[in-house]
Amino acid sequence: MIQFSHVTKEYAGSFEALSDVSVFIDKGEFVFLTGASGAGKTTLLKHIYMEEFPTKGQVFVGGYDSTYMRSRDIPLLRRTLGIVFQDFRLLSDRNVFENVAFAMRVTGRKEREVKRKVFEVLALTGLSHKCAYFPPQLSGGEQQRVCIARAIVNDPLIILADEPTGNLDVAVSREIMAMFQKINSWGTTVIMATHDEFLKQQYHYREIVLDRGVLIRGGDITVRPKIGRMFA
Amino acid sequence: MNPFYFIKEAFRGFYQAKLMTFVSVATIGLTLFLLACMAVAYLNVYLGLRAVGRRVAVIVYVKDAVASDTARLAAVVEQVKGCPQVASVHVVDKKEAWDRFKEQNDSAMLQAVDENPFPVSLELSLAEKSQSAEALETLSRELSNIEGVEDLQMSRQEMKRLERYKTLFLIGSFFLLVVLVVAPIVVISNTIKLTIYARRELIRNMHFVGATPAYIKAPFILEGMLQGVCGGIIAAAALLLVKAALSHFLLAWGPWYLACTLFIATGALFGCIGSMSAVRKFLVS
Repeated sequence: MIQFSHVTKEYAGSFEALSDVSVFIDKGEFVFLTGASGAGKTTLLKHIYMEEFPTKGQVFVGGYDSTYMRSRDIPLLRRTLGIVFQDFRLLSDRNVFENVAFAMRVTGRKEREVKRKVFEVLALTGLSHKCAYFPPQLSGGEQQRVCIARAIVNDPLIILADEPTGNLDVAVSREIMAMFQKINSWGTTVIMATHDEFLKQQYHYREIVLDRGVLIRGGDITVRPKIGRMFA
Repeated sequence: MNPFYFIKEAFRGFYQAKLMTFVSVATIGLTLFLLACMAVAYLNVYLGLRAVGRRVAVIVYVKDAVASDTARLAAVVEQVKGCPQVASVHVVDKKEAWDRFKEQNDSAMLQAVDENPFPVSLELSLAEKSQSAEALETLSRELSNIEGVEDLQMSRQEMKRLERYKTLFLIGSFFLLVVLVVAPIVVISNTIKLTIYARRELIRNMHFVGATPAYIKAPFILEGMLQGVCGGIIAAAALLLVKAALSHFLLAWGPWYLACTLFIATGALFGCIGSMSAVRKFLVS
């Protein structure tokens, strides 16, 4: 599903955010992406949704190959992904329903389908009764649930969560984790960047550990399939 | 794609940046109105200059010996008409010249004169394309070569002055036109930049959920066009008010219904160009 093949990412001044990283994540997996601040977790996620491209190496996501990626294909790739951020990134001038609906509208779905699906995911995330609320009227946990609803409304193949529990207390973090587990149980791949020790101890998923851009462990599964141009 | 989404988003931009939108619409309205005033002024000055150009007649005085012979006079008239610069020829016979003089001057002056002293003359009006000092010079040479022509009278200085005024007017109009075209585009562009800045979070989210660049840009371009259309409507309304107020001055207004439609179309065009420029610079994917 996702493969990083000897990926190096250099920024100006020869700073290497990722250094010869090779990772394989299979379909339907739940993996933690861990490491201290500045380890390269967010950079790795950005390579998956192709906001960044490798300086060396290749990234394969579903049927897309970073080497042959055209800019007009990027929106199509992102429609297969759901992205959840630590700082929520909700639109404060739109209510919960609108925040979730716009993610479907941009893909050109019919309004009737948008309404049906948005209410479905709001029910799944337990926010149906707050659909007319605006983000500032919600708690941190509720805002993160809106983010998750927005991320899953297009039935993505992969969920990318960048420190989704970073701003939340333990109880709410558990709720959010339960939600990600539920999404994972439907067959959706979940990649969660976190440095929350509590989560790592509680949930025994594979850990991909990065340190200053270098992969320390957890990059490969035992049998790593060969992914090549057939994905492009 | 849902067109209502774009319209809704465009109006949301109006609401979010009220002051800038007001400034933008007012600027477009004002500049289009000034453009219209300029067009009306241009039309009137052009018509005025053309009328003056027509008045600058050339008078050809015919020798008495030729004038007394009808056939020879007719031959001279034909030769004069043959000049390409000449639009029409009016023969002023001795009686008409006498009558005109009496009308314009004290008739007591002529009491001492026994016979009509005025020569037969030909008053020429110039063709539109020949209303220039250069054409007048050429005509002068051609007329002087015609046998039977006694003398010529033409106002070269007046023609030169007229040409200078036309040139100055055209240069002034051009500079004003440039300012009036550039100003609304710059203002709209800046307004849209502010709108983009105000909605940067939305744009960022759109990128993440897979919106195409065209989908992201469309509401901003539509918003710019809406601003332009509003400005055009204001300009059209202002022009109609001015037209009503100045109706007794008998100015030429040209096809003003068409002008009002043109305002709205031009406003939309200005809005489109301004917003596209802002979107191109500030909406990087």
